[in-house]
Amino acid sequence: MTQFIDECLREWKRLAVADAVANEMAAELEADLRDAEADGLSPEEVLGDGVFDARSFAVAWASERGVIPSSAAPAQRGYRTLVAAITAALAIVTLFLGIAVLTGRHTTQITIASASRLRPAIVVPRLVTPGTHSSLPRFFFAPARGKLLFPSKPIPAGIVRSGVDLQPVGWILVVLGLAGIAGSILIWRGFPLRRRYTTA
Amino acid sequence: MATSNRRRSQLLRGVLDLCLLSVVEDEPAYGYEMTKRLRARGLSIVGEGSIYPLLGRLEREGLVETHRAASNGGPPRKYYRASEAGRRALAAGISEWRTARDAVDEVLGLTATEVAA
Repeated sequence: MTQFIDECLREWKRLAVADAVANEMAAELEADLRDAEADGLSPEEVLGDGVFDARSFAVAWASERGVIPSSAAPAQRGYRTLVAAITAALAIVTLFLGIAVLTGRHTTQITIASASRLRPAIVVPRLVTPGTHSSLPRFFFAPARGKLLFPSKPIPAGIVRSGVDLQPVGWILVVLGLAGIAGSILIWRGFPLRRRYTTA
Repeated sequence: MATSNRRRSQLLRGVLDLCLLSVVEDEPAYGYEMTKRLRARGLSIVGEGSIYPLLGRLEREGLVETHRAASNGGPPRKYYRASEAGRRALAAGISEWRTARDAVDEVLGLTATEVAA
């Protein structure tokens, strides 16, 4: 139950409840829960359904008691809404980016109509003859014996693809986007996680 | 069952403040002691809202007075007791409750007669 009380104290601090008042409420709660435990009662029998949500319980108590400074509550709400809105916007952009990556083309594609069109304008052949190591270029004639080598092979007609596979990146972006949307909802709602606290 | 629980919860929420004022009308009590008194009178708050926010409101509205006093061997406790304004609010609340209850009884009684007929 210490965890429940600690969460209440954190919430009261966040709401700018005076320390003395927060400590008084925490001490009251702690003593009551200790008595209940000694009597064999569960925290739920003392706290009702408030036992499932320490933060909401703390907010309700402080609010009803009128110990939250008037400026604190709206400011906190406004700040939380702003953070949630920014998170949601970023998450939606991330999600759409992910979907775009997943549904779009991942590679650059060049179609080559014919090999000759893309061959370099001047091809400088190299003459290699048996017994000589000359590498001087010879233009416009071919030797009787020897082999005329082109510096590179002609580019064949067809399709050239380049680039990396972006699908994993797309999935990561989608997951991040969905997580961001869920996170923004939690931020906006103030993480009211329904949790059962045990007497410990 | 869920509908039944929800209705009971809503009914109780509307009069729980009167019940609290009633159990501290004559003798002061701290929070848990009030829970015990409610249980002794047949009212369990399991599944209902906690009494603490309600006590906070009663305190803020001046319907209960508080003081700290030592409990039986334990640490000092915060005791609640109905103030003069609280007693008046309790009397008025009891009157409103009876009026509402009688009206509902009347309607439900008519409904029962119609069904029987």
